[in-house]
Amino acid sequence: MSDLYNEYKQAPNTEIKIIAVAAGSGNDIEQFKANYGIEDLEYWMDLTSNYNKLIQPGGFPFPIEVVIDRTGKIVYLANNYSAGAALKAANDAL
Amino acid sequence: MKRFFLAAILALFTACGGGDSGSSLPPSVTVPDGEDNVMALGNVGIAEGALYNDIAISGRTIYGCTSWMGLRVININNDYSLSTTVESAPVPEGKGCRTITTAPDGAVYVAGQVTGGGSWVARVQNDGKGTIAAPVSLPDSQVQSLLATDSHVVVTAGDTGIVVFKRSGNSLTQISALSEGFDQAMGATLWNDTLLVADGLSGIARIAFADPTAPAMEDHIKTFGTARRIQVRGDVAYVAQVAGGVSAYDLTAANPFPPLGYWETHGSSVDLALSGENQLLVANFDDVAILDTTDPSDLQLIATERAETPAGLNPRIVAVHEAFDVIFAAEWSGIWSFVTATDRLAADIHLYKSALDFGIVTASKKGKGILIQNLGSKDLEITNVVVDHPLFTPEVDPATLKPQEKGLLSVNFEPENNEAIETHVTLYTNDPDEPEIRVPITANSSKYLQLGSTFDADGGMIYTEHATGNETTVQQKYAGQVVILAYFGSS
Repeated sequence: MSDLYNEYKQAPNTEIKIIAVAAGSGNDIEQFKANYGIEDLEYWMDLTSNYNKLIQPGGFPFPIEVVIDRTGKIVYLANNYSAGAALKAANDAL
Repeated sequence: MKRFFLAAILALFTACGGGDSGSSLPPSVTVPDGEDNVMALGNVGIAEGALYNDIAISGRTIYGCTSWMGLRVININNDYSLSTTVESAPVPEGKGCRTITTAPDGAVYVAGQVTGGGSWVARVQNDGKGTIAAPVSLPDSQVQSLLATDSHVVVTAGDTGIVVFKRSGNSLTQISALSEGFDQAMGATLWNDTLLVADGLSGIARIAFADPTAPAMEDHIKTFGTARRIQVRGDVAYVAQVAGGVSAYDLTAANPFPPLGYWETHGSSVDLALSGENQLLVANFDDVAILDTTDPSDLQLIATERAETPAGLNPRIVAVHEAFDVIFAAEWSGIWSFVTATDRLAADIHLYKSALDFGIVTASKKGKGILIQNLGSKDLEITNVVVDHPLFTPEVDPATLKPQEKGLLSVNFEPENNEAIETHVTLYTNDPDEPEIRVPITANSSKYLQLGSTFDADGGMIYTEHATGNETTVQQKYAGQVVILAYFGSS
């Protein structure tokens, strides 16, 4: 998430919106923000277990990265971390 | 609910003089025959993909703020059915509006957010067409709600606090702002010379407001959860606290926390409206809840009502009002009018989940459950429970639930192979609204989102903003932008 955040900070006027989603309750969020120093990032909570629809069979629960293009189509979905992949997909979608 | 009385009619008639096109008021509402204690009288939908964000009522006109179809104008008919008169009045910036309100004199004010930051605020002209007057811009604020008096408009603007405008005809002139000391200013109301602001995780901000040109922060009252909206009756403040339910705070107490009374929501309390002398309406996201506030230290749930959605999705009620003794509620996909007959006793089933997904199960036995609650005023009887698939065994315990009592629907699955299964469990009940409820069941389903598919095609991906407690979707908030969702979690 740090590489996403750094890119986000460098280009705040782009039309990429990065949202950190906590799959648990909001209690985890403050600790997470403190650990990674990413207070400016917008945070949403997934209280209705939307992530169940995102996890592919055999995939790991977390982290999940989903890139959604301007039309609402998924252009990148990963159940495991690949450095820079999500950001590349986002830039391709612009 | 108390029947409408003459004094209230006269008060409303006076209040509507400045806002509507002069049409007469509808006749007193007639409660339809039936067994239920809340019944729908009418509704209007919206184009697929657009969502209602908020509503305001002036005279017999409803103004609906939509996410990308501008401002919708709706007439309240004599039988309290609803008719759209203007599909999509244009808004000053962007395609939709965020929040809308009515002043006591009937004037309507609306606000929207600008993609990339900032907001606008304007009056809706009294022409019956939803024409919006020249807006004022708030380039550094994200408007959350509006409070309009006959002389001023107060904007709650999240972490940038409040902005105060002086009204003059169709114009607004900013006279003051207060930005220090806020968490997330989300809603506001007046109590004597004090402006009370529902201020997110900080609770209720008390602001000296005798001079609107110089508002001054006094202190905060702690609340349960995220304070999102606030209403006052007498000296008691009622606060919608999202997942924290609704609490009543004694404003005359030296320390109003802990609250006098508390209602633990079964959903997410996002908006409030006063009703009659002793009732409170709650837009509870899953439904409209009606609370009896006769004793603020003992808030009692009287009834709930869900709104039917076009695709059978869970309703998402975001705003609620009362006028003419009728409840008007904004659900994301439609606006509804309801009448209550709370002297009738009725069972009211609530399921805490709307579907059962067993995930990947190939060999071992697996069980899943859904909590059931009777939110009604009469015993709920579940007379039968059936799954149309031989590998699933359902059970409800207990089969009869007293008012407010909880039970469990459990379903056991004994797979024979890894075949994907889609079926449903059906509950048969004595709830007059929902005599038959079908809950989808999936197992070994391959319906995972894939590259190229539409994210949230069925509108089911609802998230909660951590900062504000607002419920939202990617489409509602960021349609037209590229969005990255980065999930993290401990499990």
